[in-house]
Amino acid sequence: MDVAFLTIAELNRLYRQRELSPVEVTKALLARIAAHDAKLHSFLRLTEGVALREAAEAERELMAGHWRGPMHGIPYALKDIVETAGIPTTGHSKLRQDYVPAADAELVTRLKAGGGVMLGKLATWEFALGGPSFDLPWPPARNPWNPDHLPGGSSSGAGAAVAAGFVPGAIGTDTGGSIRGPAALCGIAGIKPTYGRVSRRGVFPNTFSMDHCGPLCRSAEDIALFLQVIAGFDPEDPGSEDVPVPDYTATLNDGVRGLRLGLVDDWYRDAPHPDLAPAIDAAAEVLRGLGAVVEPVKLSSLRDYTDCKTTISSVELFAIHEHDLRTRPEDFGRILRNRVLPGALIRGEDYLEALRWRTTLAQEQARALQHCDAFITAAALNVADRADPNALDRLVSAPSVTMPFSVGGLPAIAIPCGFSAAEGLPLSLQIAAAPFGEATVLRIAHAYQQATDWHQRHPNLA
Amino acid sequence: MTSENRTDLTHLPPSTPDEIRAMLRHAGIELPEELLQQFVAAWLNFEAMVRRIPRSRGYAEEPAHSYRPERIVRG
Repeated sequence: MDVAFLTIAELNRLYRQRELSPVEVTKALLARIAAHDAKLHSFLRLTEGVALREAAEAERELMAGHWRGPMHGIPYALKDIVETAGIPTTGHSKLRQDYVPAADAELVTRLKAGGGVMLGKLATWEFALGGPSFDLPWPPARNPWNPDHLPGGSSSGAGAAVAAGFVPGAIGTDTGGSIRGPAALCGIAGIKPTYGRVSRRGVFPNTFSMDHCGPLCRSAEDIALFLQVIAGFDPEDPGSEDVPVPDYTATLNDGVRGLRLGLVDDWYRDAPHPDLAPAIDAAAEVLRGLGAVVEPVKLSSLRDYTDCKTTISSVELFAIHEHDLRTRPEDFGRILRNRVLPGALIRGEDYLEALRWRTTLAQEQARALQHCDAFITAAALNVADRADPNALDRLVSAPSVTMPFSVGGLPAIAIPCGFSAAEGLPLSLQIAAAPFGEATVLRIAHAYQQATDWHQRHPNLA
Repeated sequence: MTSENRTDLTHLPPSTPDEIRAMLRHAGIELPEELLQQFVAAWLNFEAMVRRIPRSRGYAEEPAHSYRPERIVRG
């Protein structure tokens, strides 16, 4: 049996039926990574010994009838800003090339308790911000659909590894779109949960007030299973919220009939890629056909949301990296350095005005959500970029379609909704709902995936 | 907020390279010349961004991240 593209849901079923074992799956995926990752660079470090030990343990427990939950015996990998006790956590940066944490991040503790099998640490843009960079100790990850293209970022290795069939799920982080962007550009699913839903403790910060952790998988159903294990209150994370975690699979099959979906079409109507708007409009039609009421909704411009988010991030990033910038600026990659240094020149009143603007923008989203159950829009405004070391940095100049829901702190998922005709690269739909409305987001995404097959298409690595 | 009632700082002229160098010096940042030149080129987009932030809010319009003592001060 070729296990490369089995989903977490399918692996659970096959484990229960004893048709497949965690050790078999782990060995097969490690072999696939060994055969193909030299051209994708999605992993910075394989933890083969840990993986085989955890897989053997899971196999013993499952054979004894002890099931720890939906990640039991399931291989996963971690973006390399997520701390792992005794295993280097580099941030894909020369600055932390030799850093070995003493403790696991809280979400790793939860995955271990849930019986997950860690395959390794994944490429990222430098400290989840500076990239794609070609001047770091490791090369940038490449897109499995076409290795001449990039997988997006900053959870670049996570997007590439899941799409390539190296691992059924991975942990990414998302401050302005770093889970949803790679998911979109690699043709997989990725969710940024509500701010405070998943603990950030033990994860290298980007922007304290907007950092989120979440899974990337190949289906919305798998996202539900993975999120179930990592979601929940952490009293040691000051941003964590003490809100009960529902059973994300309980409403997954409820369909969308009667749901009101606000289509934010202004954000993608003039997108640079000609295939994008028709693909999102077609996805909206699918949801209409399933019984949802889809109506246009107006929110502030992407320029406004991008300016607000990036101003806040710039200041917080500088505070995080200030010491290294003053003492060893040449050890930063060029892109990270030039994205972090501006924070030194942004005044306190500018930062505070941006935080006050954030309140206004979030309230605008809350008002709109009084009239609809969720927003739908694009998850990326173009297909994956070509890998070009001399490309201009567009962090500030190009508005982002993922940042609005970072500003709002809303749960938002990216799922594939087509492929571009010219390049054959994925296009992606974004769905967002009210705070702690992950179940609603997943229900809509799952309904769409039951009616379409975009998520079942996979790149050919041969 | 529409552009008609926005109060921002977009009317200000872009900083000159010398002004940017001076601002960095005042911030206590010292960079090798090559890195300094890279930053001077990068800063102008950030400066324009910050100047687009709407100002003159009412006193009741509080920042998004407020202090919550029960999350920080635990017995």
